[in-house]
Amino acid sequence: MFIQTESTGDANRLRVKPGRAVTGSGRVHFDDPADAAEASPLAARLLAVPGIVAVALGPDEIVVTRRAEADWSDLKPEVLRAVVAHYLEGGPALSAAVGAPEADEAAAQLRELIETRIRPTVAQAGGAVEFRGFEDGIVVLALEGRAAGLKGGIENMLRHYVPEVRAVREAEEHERLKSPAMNTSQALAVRQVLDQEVNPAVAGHGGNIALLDVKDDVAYIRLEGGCQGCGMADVTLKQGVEAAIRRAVPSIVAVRDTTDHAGGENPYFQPGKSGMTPF
Amino acid sequence: MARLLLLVPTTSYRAPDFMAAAARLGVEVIVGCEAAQPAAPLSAGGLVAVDFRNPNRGIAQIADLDAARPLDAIVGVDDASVPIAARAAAALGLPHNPPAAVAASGDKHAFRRALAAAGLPTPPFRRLGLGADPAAAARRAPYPCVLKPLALSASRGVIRADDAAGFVAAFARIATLLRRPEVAAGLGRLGQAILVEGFIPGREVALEGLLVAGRLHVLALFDKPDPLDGPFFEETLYVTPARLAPEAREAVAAMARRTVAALGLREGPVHAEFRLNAAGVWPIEMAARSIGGLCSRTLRFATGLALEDLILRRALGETAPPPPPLEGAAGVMMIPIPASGRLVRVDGIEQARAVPGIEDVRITVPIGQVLVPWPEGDRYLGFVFARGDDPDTVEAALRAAHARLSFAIESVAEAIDASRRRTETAP
Repeated sequence: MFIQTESTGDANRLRVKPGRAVTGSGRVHFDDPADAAEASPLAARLLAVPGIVAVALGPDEIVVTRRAEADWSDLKPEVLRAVVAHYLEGGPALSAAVGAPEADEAAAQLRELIETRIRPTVAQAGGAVEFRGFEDGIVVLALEGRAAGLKGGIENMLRHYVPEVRAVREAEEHERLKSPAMNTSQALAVRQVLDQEVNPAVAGHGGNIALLDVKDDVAYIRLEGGCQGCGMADVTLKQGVEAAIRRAVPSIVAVRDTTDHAGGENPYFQPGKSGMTPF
Repeated sequence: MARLLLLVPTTSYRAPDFMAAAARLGVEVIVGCEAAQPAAPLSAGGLVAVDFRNPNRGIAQIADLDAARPLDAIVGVDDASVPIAARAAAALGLPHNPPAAVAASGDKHAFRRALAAAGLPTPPFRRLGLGADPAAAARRAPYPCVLKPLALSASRGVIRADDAAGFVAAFARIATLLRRPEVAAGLGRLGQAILVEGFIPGREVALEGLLVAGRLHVLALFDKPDPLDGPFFEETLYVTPARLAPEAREAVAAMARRTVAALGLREGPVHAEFRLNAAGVWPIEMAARSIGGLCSRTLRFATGLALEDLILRRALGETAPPPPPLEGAAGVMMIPIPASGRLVRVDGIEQARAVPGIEDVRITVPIGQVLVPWPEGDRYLGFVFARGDDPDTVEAALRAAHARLSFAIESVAEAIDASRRRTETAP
């Protein structure tokens, strides 16, 4: 059995790919050993590992969450041992009592929030939003028109009502991040900087910075939402984003902006001849 | 490695070009903005907040920065940051313009007083507080005259009056603009008055220059071929070199030197406007900064340098005379705002770009934003750039490109209706 592990962009979470189906379809989240004991032998086994506090089972992967002070070098062998033991025993990841993906409580709640509250607001702003899925705390949405500029607000709302939500990600980006090029150690390190440092910072201005590619030690990014077309985009990029990426990933020699800034519909700072003077 | 502090207002058009020039220089750059930036925590001190509106506080912030990381130059890239750059540089003993000279260039009444004191051509002028009686002032005004805010740039709020009724209407309109909270907050005491001055007829040109230890190097002279006779003075076309006889060019340069001396400016860029008529060359305005908007992209100098390269190199101590501009002609159109309302769509951009001689077309107002025409407006729809063998060709290309552009603008009432329809049809 060949098991792969990879970073999730969150230092406390580890993705484990056992090389075979886990739930087959849909995602289920466990953080209560009692619930897991009833619904998932696999999750129950993993939650029994000291230091593991949550387990999310996906179609072909498992995401385990550690207690912040725990050390992966201690936990990882135990996690892998538990996964191997489960598959060697041959039991299902989920017991029959667990429903289909649509029954996933958080996903259903998210779908309802999006349909009843977010979609009308986004439409009023001249955009469209569609729920595509909920994986590892990531809400995957298709965002069109001015919806991209509202991503930060959507994320805040969803996080408020559904604490399991860690972030909102556009469907296109979500797919792109699954490509091999975006999962090299270098690309993962850049993603980690964007996920953990940059995007939480620019979210306050309705902005988002997406990683498009990492090639020949150059990171190609796209500025979205409030960052797209922003009068301070170059300053943010050069002084903030590039500095943070190159500091954390010294092998990156440059960060290139591929944004169509003319297409920005809701830039945070808009240039003008306001002629303000401090006198 | 030299360390440069760029003071960049968050609403400046000039940030990208100065950032690019700073990157080309290979120096350490710290950017100071008037508003805290979300990327500041990522920057390891490369992005800091500087209070532009409270100079004493801003200067103290810069002094603290200099104490921790000594600065070699401070450059203000636009109107809102040039004064504090001068004051901070003076406080730290770095190359700078005298702060009083910068202040005079940024106050249209102080500018006129400085010119009059130096004996330079000046129309009759008078400063009126916003609380003045416009009807009484109208009786004493020289007609035709121009009413203007003391500090707004790009002819924002500038209105010509040909009679008393026009004067009173213009005064009320400018006062309303100056009393807007966002305008009043930015202007401070300069927002409390209006300058009235005699209208100067004639052809208008703009001069771009660089001061090196008090000596003015003329970098470019632009024609402004669209008539600027009012009632409003929205800028449109700039074409360089200006189609002036050599004697007229020299006369403009000479008047620019006298204007610089009258103000007391000594270092860095200047952008000035002059009018030419039978009585000679008349200074209209002179700012201690480079040309605004994206217009500097028309200027390229020998060895491939941009205007911002020259400014930053001088700030960091380069004393060599600036190189000459490249051969040929160039121009820019600041795309005028045709109507008020919400910008829905811009058509013809590719067709405009396809006009021979056109280098680029940049729409800088995002789709969906509300457009406000001059004199109240404060932003251009965008910019068209052209280059060619001679100024006539460039001007023709700019006009042809502009003719290919069309702008769909819905009125505010239509915008509200459209928003309501989107809500009603939302699934």
